Amino acid sequence: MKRSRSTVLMASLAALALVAAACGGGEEDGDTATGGGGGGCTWEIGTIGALSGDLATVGGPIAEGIRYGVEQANEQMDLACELTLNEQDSQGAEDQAPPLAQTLVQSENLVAVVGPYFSGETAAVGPTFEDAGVPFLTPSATNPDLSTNGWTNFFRLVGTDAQQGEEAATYMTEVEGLSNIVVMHDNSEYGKPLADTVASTLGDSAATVIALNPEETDHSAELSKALNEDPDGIFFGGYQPEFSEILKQGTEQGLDVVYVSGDGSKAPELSQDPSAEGSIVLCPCDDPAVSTNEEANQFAEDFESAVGEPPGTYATEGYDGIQLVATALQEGGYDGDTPIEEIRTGIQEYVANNTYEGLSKTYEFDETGELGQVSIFAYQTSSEGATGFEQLGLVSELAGQ
Amino acid sequence: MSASTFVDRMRTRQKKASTLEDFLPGLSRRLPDGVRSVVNQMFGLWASLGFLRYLIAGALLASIALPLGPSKDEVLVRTGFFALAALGLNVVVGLAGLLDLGYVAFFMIGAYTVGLMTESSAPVHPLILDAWFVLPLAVAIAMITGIILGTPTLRLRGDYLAIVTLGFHEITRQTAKNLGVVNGSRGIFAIPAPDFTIPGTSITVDFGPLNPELYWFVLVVFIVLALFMISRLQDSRIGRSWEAIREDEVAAASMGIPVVKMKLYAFAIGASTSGLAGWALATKVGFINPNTFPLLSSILVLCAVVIGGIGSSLGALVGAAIVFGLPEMLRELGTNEILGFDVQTGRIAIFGLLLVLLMIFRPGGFISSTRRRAELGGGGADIAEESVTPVLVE
Amino acid sequence: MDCNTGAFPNLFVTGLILGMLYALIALGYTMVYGVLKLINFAHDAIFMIGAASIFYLFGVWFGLNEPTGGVVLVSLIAVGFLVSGLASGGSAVLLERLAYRPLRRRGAARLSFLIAAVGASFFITYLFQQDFLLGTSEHNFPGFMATESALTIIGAQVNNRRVLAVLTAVALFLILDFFVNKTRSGRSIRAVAQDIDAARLMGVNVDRVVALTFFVGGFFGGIAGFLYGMVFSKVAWNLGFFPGIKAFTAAVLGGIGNVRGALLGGVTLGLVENLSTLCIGAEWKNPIAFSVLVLVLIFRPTGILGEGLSAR
Repeated sequence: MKRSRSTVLMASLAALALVAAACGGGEEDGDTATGGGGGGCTWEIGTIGALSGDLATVGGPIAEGIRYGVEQANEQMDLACELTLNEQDSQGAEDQAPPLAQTLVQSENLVAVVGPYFSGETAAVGPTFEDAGVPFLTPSATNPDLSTNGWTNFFRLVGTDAQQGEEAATYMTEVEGLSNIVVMHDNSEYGKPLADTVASTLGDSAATVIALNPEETDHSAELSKALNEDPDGIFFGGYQPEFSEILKQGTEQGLDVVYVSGDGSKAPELSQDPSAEGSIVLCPCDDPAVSTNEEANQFAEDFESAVGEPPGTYATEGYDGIQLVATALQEGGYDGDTPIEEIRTGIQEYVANNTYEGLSKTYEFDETGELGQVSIFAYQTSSEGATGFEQLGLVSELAGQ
Repeated sequence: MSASTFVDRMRTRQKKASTLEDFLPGLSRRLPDGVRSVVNQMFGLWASLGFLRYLIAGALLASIALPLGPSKDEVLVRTGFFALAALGLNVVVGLAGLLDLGYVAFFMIGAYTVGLMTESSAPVHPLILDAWFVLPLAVAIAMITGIILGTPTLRLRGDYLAIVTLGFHEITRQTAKNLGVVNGSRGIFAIPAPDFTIPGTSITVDFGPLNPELYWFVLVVFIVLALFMISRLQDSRIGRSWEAIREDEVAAASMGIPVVKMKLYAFAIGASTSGLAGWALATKVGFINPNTFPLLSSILVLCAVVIGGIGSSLGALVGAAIVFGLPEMLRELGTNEILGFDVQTGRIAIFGLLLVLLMIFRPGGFISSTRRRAELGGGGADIAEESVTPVLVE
Repeated sequence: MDCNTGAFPNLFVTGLILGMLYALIALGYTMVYGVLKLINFAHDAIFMIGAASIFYLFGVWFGLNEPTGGVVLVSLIAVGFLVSGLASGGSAVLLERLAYRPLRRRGAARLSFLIAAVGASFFITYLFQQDFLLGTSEHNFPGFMATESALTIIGAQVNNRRVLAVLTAVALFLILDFFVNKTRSGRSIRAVAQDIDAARLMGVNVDRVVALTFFVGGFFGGIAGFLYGMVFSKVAWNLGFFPGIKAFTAAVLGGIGNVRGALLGGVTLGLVENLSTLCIGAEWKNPIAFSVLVLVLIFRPTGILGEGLSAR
């Protein structure tokens, strides 16, 4: 009994100490934040995304691209102030992102944000950036609804799920020649609309649409239903872990068909299981390491020698986003004395009204912040490829042949 | 005034004058007599303040926001949603002794009510109202759902209730994912934030995203109201019925206490508080989807209640600060890992361990009432063994 | 509603196999409940430990990722059963010793047990989610057993891994049924289940019986984890979560505390889940499974076969 009482006391004291430490530390942090920036002249670019946690496999490569972009912009461009990166880790969760967005907009040197990475968190922080007048360019959030909020500071550096879905349908019918396709999805905010667009574009070629629960491992019921349609192809709208499970369990159940998925499945982990070999992944991204574009290959080499790993999915978009902001800063002719609001507005106007020749594509935005023209690439999963994939080419070109 | 209500009142008055011994017996025993009596006098003084206490507590809570600055106020507001939810769950778990593992389902129902009934991006709007006018609706609908779920299930044994509520959370979440009318897993965007025009002036207070501290003030009003109501309930006939049911359900029933009805009250109060917190979250964040309400949130709110002290409203608030506020604060400070544990996900491991340890060593939590501790600590008839004939065993 | 009867054979066979796995996990819940009247919420984590132990021993340590055959394969499977069973059984005993026994000693209220069990479940699960253990990513199950189509039942292909899972489950149920009903240890378990105080007075060492119950439940849960990981070729920190809830549902459905009920409940749930997708979208599978749970609890809280290890 005695022991338990002293344990209790110590635990209570420890908890109090923790709380006190957290509060005390909090105040200190506030002081440095308000006093920061003095002396040298810096411009800050913010980024929010999954740098750790479950989704870090998706967020990590984008962050690398962004870091590399800032490094390159400082080295190669003639900017009046030094660019710095303010990274905020949301772990990809929309409920964690708003405080981080607040932190960013409070920063007195913040000129623009490249991020967030996912659609949910973008929806959650959009109002904050919009109210503060900070332009935010997302490298990878593909939910089409985002551009319907009327945000003037929002720009999307990739094609939407809707655009991707249409091209995926074209690819399956015209390039692979499939005619009886089962469309599956993970019932997520990303996978379901993508699959729905694919199914509606396919029309009669879509046998049925089947949802599965990504939190579960067993998909035998869903695959049995698919098997019953006797399909020649399966499209899956969702992320790589579930696509891997479908490939494993589908081939085991005797579904010997062409498997196609979207950009959510374009992760190097896909090629780890032999059942994935040969499956097709479509992505509005030009994976520079396996690209047919030589400039991109060069970028991939430079990137790898600087960072230590090849640029992953949407790393190029992150890089392009930084370069685009840096170009806007350079063209605007701002210096350290320009008020920050003027720079933010200037960047917004520059990005909205100009055409920028990026590494992965040409960026030209319509009034909602969407790209006018998107290019979707087809990849084949291959353990031989540098990033676990081999690029087959642009869907529009493959279909035109 | 009848004699019995008078006696009840007197008892209530007596109970309110707490002592340090009630909350931290270990500490109390170690303090010198002088200090202890000073502290106990302060407790007495505090108790004599009456309703004024709630205003002071509210002012203290509200003042937290002022020195922090907007980004930390966001953390505070997030903690506030869950503190409010924890207050409600404390009624269910702490006062009535019902283990509800799907509590955040009601939170979700409150939030979705706001999403559907304000001018948001939801595909279907049964009604379009101002954010403030939806508030009573969100609370009422959460409460009605609680009653509908509770009516059949509260007759079940306690551990079955835990699993039914767990299942209910999953049913609610999956259904929201599947239903087109709430836009499935894409969720509802652009839920308008409330604003408030001070009567007689043209000054409008805008609760938009750039002023999180204003939201905190709203939450403090809710929290203080909840504190007041819960404390009144605790001292009422209903509160004493809960106490009786918690201690011995069979005895309570045979004394003529309507057990199921009383449990239902607790369930409904918990659900409506959760719905209120859902209203706050939906209007503050402006975006909800089924993933905003994972099962984990239900478990974390439970952790807050247990860690703070089962049955203590103050404990629920402290617990929420530890469970929801502390990890965010650590992250704000740039601490992402402690001893290899990720601050965000590892906290769940640590809180899980804490739950086990607390149940073993201090079942009442860090802040607890003597009475509640005695109940949780021993005397439960179900799984008791040593209580019967310990001498004969060895 | 558009019913798709053509998929029936496949859904039936896969549902049956899934149900057998649920049943195997349900044993852990049912044994502990039968004896202590406690829902061991941490059993889902115990189950995951079984799969994780094989991942570490065969996958990380010995690197057995190439398909094997003949005697090697048989002995690997046997060692796998033993290792996963011991890892999970051991963890379950440890859990009982460290978390539940102090509560039992004190005669703590039921709420304390439940909260401690929920805490233990989340502690173990999220401990394994940290980077120093399994981390957040999914791992492939060591591929020492190649997958090949083994037989075709009413038009549905069943591979060798699933056949192994079903055969093992059936064998384990026969063994357990014999153990509980025919052996001396089984009799003491039944005695404690019936009346803990009477059993103690009759000279039964209650602590040992409780530990044995946790060990047996955990052992079977571990083997279930091994089979589950192998059938779905996956090991991850959250492997146990949904199978855990489903298995619990199965245990309640069949009559919690009842070994035969676990089998019946598991198979029923597996079939209900899969066959429900004949007419309704597969996205409604989980709401249906949980609604079944809620309805059973409301209308027949003792399940199909009734409660109790001792009631027979």
